Order: sequence, then C-alpha cells, then structure tokens
Amino acid sequence: MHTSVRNGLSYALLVVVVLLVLAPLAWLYLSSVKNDIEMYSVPPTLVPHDPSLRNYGQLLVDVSFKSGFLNSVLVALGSTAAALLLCVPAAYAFSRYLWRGLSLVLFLVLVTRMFPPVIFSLPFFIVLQKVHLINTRLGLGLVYLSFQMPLAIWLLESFFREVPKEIEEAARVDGLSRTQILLRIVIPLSLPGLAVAAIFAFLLSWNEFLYALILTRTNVAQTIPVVVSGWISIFQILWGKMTAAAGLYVLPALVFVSLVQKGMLKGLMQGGVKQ
Amino acid sequence: MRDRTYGMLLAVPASATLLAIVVFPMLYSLHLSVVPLDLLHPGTPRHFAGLSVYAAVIADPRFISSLLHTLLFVVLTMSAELVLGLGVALLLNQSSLAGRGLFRTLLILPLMVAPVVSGLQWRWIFSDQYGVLNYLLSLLHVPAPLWLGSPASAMAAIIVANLWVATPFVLLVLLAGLQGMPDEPIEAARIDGAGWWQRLRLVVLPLLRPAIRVVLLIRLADAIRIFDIVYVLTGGGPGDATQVFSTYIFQTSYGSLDLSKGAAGSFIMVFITALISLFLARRFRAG
Repeated sequence: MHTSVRNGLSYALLVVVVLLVLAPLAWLYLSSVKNDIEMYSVPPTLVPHDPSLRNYGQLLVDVSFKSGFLNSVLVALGSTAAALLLCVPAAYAFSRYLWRGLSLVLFLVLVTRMFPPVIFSLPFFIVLQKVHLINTRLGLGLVYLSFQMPLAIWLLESFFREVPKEIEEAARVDGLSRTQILLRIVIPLSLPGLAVAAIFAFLLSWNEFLYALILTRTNVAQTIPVVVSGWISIFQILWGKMTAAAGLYVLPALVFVSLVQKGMLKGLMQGGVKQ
Repeated sequence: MRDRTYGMLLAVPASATLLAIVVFPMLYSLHLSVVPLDLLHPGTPRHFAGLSVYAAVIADPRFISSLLHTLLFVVLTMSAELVLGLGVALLLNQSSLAGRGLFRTLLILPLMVAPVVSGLQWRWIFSDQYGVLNYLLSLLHVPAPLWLGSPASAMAAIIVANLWVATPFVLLVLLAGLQGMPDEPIEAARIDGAGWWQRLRLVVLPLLRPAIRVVLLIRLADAIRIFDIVYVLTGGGPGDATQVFSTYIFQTSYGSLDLSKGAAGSFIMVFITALISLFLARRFRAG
C-alpha cells in the first residue's frame, strides 16, 4: 500500500480511537455544567444550552465534599511525605551498601501486589480499632504507607543507581561524609526521580478507595471517593453534584499524566500502580 | 563506621515500618483464618480450627459464583486489553506518522484516573433513561438494553469501564517494547517476502514476548482483585450476577462481620492468583 494512503488510514483510525477514549471524560465535564432540568432531559442534549458552574458552586457549600477534599489532600500529602522521608535513606542504602537485600524489597513489592488489599484491611481494621486510630486521617495515612513504601523504595533505588559512582568518590576524596554526599549530591542529582516517586505515591493515596471505605466512617476522615460513592442511593443519584465532584477529583491525575510521561512507565512497570 | 553498618542504619526506619504494616498484617490475617474470631459473640474462647474455615468458604455457593464471575471478567478483560493495546501500539509505532507524541498523550490520559471515577462516569453513560449511550443507540434504531439490569450486559459494562482505565497501561508498555525492538529482523522478513500479518505473527510478536509477559503479570494481579468499579457501577448486582472475589470478601468480612471467613477467602484468592501467574510466567518465558 502507498505510504500516504496508509498514513491517512492510520490517522483516521487514531482519531476515532482518541475520540472514543476522550468521549467519556468529555461527557462527564459537559454534564457537570448542565442545570438540573437539562441534566435529566430526554433525549439528552449533547452540548449544554445554558452552561453554568452552579454544580461546582454547590460543592463549595457541601460540608461532606469540603471535608472529603481536605481529608484527601491531607492524607495524600502526609503519607507521601512520610513515605519519602523513610524511603529515601533506605533506597540509597539499598543502592550502595545493601544491594543484596534488594530482593527482599522486590518480594514486598510482589506481596503487596499479589495480595488483595482486602486481606490487609482485616488486621488494619482490628488493630486501628484497638489503638483508637479507626476513622482518623493519621490511621488511614499509616495504612497507605503499606503500598506506597515498597513502590517508593523500588523506584528510588533505580534512580539512585543511575547517579555515577565517580561523582560520589570525588566528593569522598574532597572530605564529604557519607551523609553529606547523600544530602548534597545524590538527592539534588536525583530530583526528577524523586518527583516521579512522589507523584506516584501521591496518586496511589489520592485514588485509593477500599481501605478508606473500610477504615473511615464520618466526615472526620472520609476521603473524596468514599464521600462521592456515598451519594449513590437506591432512590436517586444527584448527577449534577456527582459529575462536578468527579470532574474536580480526577484533575490531578489528568494533569500529572499529561505532564510527566517519561518517568511514568518506569513507575508503572516496577510497582504496577493501579488499584 | 563501616559502610555496611551505615547502610543498615539508613534502612532501619523503613524496614521496621514495613515489618509493622506489611508483614505483621499478613501473618495476622493468616492467624485469623485458622483461629477463628467470632465478632458477633465477643468473649467466645478462640481455638485452632485447622482448615475448617477454608472448607466453609469453598462450600459457600456465593464464593464459587464470585470465583466464576472473577475468572470470566479476568479472561475477557485481559484479552480485550491485549488486543486493543497491541493494535493501537502498532498504529502509534509507525515512524512515518507525524504528531505521534500528541496522540500518545491523549490516549494514555485515563492512565491514573481513579477507578471509582471510571465506574461513576460509566454508570452515568449506561443509565437507562438519561444515558447518552442509549440515546446514541436509539439514533441508530438499535434497541436499548437496560445495561445494568441484566447479568450479561452488567458484566459487559464493568469490562468497558475497566478497559477504559486499564488499556492505557498496556498500550504504554507494549509501545515501549515495540520501540526497543531491533529493525533488522523485521526488515529481513520484509525482504524475504513476508506480508504484514506474517511479520507480525512470526517476528514482532515473538520479540514482544517479554513486554507481553510483564503486561500479563501486572494486569492479572490487578484484574483479579477488581473492587472499586464493581462497587460503584453495579454494586455486585443485579442480584449477585456481578459479584467478584473482592466484593464477596468485603461483604463477608464487613457486612456479615465474619472476618475469619474473609481472611480465608483472601488467601484462597492469593493462591489462585499465584497459580495463574506461575502458569503465565512459564507460558510467556522469553525466547
């Protein structure tokens, strides 16, 4: 087949696939700016006649959504910070001094991937109840470390390994201590890798649903996915509020994926991120 | 201080934390499954029960049906993910196409979208009365089914919602595999007169085995434990028609408060995952 004909066909196919992939998201956002009457009009209007941000405005005064948003942000930021703080030194140690122990980390990565979260949720549920951390952001954040940390160590170790040993040896000759080398040379040189690990850890926590559903009960600690899924009832679903909330909630994921693609693949292969 | 000692000091905080939040819970669950805990009658003395809880799980018809639903879902969704992911990856891998980067970015946009959102968005699309899908079907004069109201179409809906979030990952890995592939064997096959289909089947796919293996293993573990999408899209319904492993264990543990049965069910699930992984890993060994 002639190259230009083949290219034309390929473009046409790709455009169709892109439209199919983006259509559900587009429909979500289009629905979120409709008013209540248009939302439930039969047949549905594809483009809203009277677009407004009313549904988003409603979210701003919705107590459960506001607290859910705050909880999601705090749990994700807190657990990510803790995971990095614990995992940066450990990953560095594995990359330089303890590379034999690395297979243990790989084992933990596999375990947390192969074992369904539901299996870990049982002991978490019982123990958090005993230590009065059930239905708290702290308790949920601690639990999130269980899947953030194996991934973070695994990712960071591979980034640290890419830092040339010669630079570190030169620094050692200049009289820097091992800790100074880590803080002043290795970490600054691995900042892109650290960012990828942080984004992954953040999104893992941000997207998590099952643990949050089991370990939180009220506005004090419930995160967005739990709050929003709680709006589903047998009798009705308020789709205006629902689509606006889902649209806002999904934004960080869309932004990160379109900005950071290079390091994404590495993270996905090593941790297998999806819930 | 020796280097090794220094390294161990750096690793102690993370290792201790992992021990407490990964290893301990696992052992606790295992204990829970062989020394049953009766939450409904607190204070009942606990005894070692051997594998009796496991036997009770296997004898539970709801467990067996959730097992069958899960396996059906896993086979269908993973085949579809592979075919779609490979097809689009082959399209994107043509070096003569300009703007491939933009297409790739748009296509992998759902990569990190929360499964909960996928479930909700598709629930809105599949809605009987107000759903845009049934409206589009009516334009084509196709009779509109009650998507979430019958067992087969509810399962189809779950698969579609899952494909939307899962396929971008498959696409990304397979595309990386294709791009890392040497040109020479494919060129040699072309010169030998092999057609497109022959080149794909006899040269490209065998070279792609390692990438396919990674995709299968990672996606298997994820697909088997699917929960979020089922929970928000069908809630396991209609009836129990789309009940899967994770929703069964969730209901057993937290609905009926039978934590021990939930733990035993989870370990059976891990066992099955391990068996299938082993099979796939051997089947798709490189070379």
